[in-house]
Amino acid sequence: MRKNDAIKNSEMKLLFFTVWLLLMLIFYSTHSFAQTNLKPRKCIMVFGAHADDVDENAGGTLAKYVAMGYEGIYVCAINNLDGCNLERTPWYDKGPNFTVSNSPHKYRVDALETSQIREEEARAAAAVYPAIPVFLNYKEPTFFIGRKLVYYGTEQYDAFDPPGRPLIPIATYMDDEVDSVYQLLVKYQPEIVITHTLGGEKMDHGNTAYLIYLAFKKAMQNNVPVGKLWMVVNGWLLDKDAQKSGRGVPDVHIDVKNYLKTKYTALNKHISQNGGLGRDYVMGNETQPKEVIEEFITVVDNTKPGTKK
Amino acid sequence: MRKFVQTALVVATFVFAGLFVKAQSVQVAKWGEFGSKPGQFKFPTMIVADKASDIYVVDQHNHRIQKFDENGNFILMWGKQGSGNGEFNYPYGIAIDSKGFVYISDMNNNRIQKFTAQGNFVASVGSYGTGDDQLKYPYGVAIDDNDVLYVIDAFNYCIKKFSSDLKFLSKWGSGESIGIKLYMPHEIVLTKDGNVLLSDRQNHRLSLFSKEGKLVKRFGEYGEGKDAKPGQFSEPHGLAVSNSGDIYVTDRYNFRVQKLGGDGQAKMQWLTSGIFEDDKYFPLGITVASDGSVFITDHYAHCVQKYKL
Repeated sequence: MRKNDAIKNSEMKLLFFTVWLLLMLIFYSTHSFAQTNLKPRKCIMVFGAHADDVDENAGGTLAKYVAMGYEGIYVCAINNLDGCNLERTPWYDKGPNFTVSNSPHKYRVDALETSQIREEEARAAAAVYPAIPVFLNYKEPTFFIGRKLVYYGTEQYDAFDPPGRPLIPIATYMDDEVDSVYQLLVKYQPEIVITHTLGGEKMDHGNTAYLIYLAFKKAMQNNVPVGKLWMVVNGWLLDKDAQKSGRGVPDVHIDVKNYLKTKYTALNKHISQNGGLGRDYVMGNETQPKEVIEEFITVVDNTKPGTKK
Repeated sequence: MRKFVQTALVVATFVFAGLFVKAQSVQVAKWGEFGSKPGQFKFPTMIVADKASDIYVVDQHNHRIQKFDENGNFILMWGKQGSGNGEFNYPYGIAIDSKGFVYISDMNNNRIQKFTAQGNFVASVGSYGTGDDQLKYPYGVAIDDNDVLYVIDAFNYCIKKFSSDLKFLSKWGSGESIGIKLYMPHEIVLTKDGNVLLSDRQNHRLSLFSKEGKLVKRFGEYGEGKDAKPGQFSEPHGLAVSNSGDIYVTDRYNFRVQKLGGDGQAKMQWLTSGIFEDDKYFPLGITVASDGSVFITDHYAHCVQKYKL
């Protein structure tokens, strides 16, 4: 009798253990792709606020991963209504056939034209890697009408009613907008996502980062297989004291020495930004020491088991 | 002999200057203000007169076309923002053929739409791309004597020709950036002798081509402000040709219209705003009615002005 009880007892324990094991498997399979067969695709998505930010921030890394067989996605968040100076071109002083202007002044280009020019430049830059260009079309907070700089919140801004989705800072409060970025993550299921620094630099850059962060977290909560979210080390994070405190210290170091040519070729497509003379025009002829290694901070690593959703 | 030539030159200069100074224009009508009601405008761009001297205005930020009689009395309007037939997304240019059909460059929809004079949709051509039937942000449009439509395909860097039923005919321009040695050409018009004139805006000059795209000549140079000479321009934009073959140019940052002979020689000029204020005025589109009346749009002041010479 005691023997039967012992057998029954051990059977019960086995049953209990099996049920527990099954429950745990179900739990992990629904809460972390890392415990299942769901894995991110070999895809790298780089989100830049403006047309050339992708190349500036992570052009070498994008080139390297594409060369390794990853699908590259080149995402431009803002529709670039501002920031175009046509007269900064390599042909500026090349004589009558190519004279762009004998004006001593350089003027910005109108909002709609700027947006068109910079989108075309971004498409050309994306083709260099090659990567798929994606435009999220968020509005710029400033632009030019003729030679007049117009700011968001002014009567003239509202009157012009520029095309595009809400401003990026506002979009971060809007579920639909977060969802649109989330849908991109669902579509591509990237192993690596790179964007700007949270709060590290210009408002539209920092808020772009926040929008991507929110979408990334949503993807994790919904078990979309996304991998790692990296952010560029920039702004206050570069402050020496901040670095000493342990914040702003990059943990990802990508050697892009062999991909600088691709990065610069892509940068050179943004003629309106650098006169078509590329980084040399902006930064001088010598490769900057920091450019050989592109560095990032891992903000979220969803590939690790038990990562909080 | 040398003295005689010098004297003749001095006399000729004074005679020419006298002609220039004596020439007068009188503003005989002005209509429009900022708004969306009939007769109001939001950032009007191009303008054209039909054979009956009715005036069609591209009301860009209202995404519509408005039609007036020659005195500014509202006749009809059509269009709203969208991508369906008869809808617009930041329309830009306008032209009328010999039968009275109206062609609109629907800029951000990357297409040309054709309408009756009553605004009924007839046909369209174009989508974003590089194919013959595709466009990348069409700007100015013009019609020649054979009802061939010329389109500035801004970011395919070429001029495309279509039949009046919007079938692709041919194109010219290298297809490369600035390949036709123009910089942001915005307006296009056929001259009396059958050549194609383009406002080479960022080069502050005009460029004349044969219908097949062979460069005939360029004229104009940079000059800005109250001291700008006749024949100098600061971002020339709108173009029109009168029945007598004279060329009219909106010289937008000199806030004036310049009238040139068919040979490009300056004949007269007048200020459209009376003052130099680049955040209030901005002459952009121009057309000449059959009786010689000149109509311009002011992009900033949201109005149309009519002049008699």
